[in-house]
Amino acid sequence: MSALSVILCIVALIFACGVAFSEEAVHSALCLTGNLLCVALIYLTLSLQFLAMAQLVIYAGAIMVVFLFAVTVLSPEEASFESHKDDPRWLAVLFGAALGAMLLCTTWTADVSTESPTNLPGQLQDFAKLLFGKYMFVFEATAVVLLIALIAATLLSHRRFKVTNPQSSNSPASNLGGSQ
Amino acid sequence: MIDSAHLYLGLSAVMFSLGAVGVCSRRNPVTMFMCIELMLNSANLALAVFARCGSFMIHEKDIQVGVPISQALNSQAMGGPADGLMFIFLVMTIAAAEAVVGLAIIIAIFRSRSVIDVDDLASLKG
Repeated sequence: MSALSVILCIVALIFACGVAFSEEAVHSALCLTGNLLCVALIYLTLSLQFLAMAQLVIYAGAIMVVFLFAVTVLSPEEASFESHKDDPRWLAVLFGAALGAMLLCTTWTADVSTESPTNLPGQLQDFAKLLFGKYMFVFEATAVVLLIALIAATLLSHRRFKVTNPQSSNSPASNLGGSQ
Repeated sequence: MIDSAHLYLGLSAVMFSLGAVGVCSRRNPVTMFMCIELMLNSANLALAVFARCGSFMIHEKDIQVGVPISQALNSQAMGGPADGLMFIFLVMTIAAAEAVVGLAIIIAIFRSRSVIDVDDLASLKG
């Protein structure tokens, strides 16, 4: 265990707490970006260079841009971000603490070696061999999933919606489906 | 004294439970999505640690009768060291698709009702 690992874990933990407990959605997004960067650095300490770069490009790059765009579009002045008085937040914290204790007890007894070896596969060549060999069908299925997600997002953004009053949200759900 | 593998596994467990707390307690769907991404990310971290530092020794109780030991070692029925990394890659791809479709749905709901609060969107409640 090196000092770098401990520092990375502490910073990642602080950013994770920021994602879960910060009031503003923008702060949550920025904390999530920091957390993803810390995890990318942890991948580097495990000598998984390709996964660290993929984490940077896909997660911290593409997905976080989409999240920040959504936070920008959903103007926070009109949305209600504060919690209600009768919000059972302590129940959520209790549930999370129980889940975390259970996971910690499980991972404490995990059979992992003491130090990360360097001769194991995990470099780009082994990755490509598996991706285009054993997992060829899964790779192609992922491409289909991405295509369907693209079509779905385009269809959802091209609909025209009737703007309804938010106070009449208990009315029948005829305002959910828009006309094409 | 714990080693870095157990440290990373503990970090993954705590990050997952923090994401679960966020999903349960937040009422803004965008923030809930961020907490879901946090949970996916922690699962990715656990997969990476197990793929990198896990022991791939075959225990005696797992060896079937009649199968030579060399064949059992070469078959890698439980997956080799690089298989967990493949799953990390697939989880990243699915997370990207999920984020795009989910945020598109949230924006569509916002355009339709001008409110994004998960407690107010109860039209489908029986």
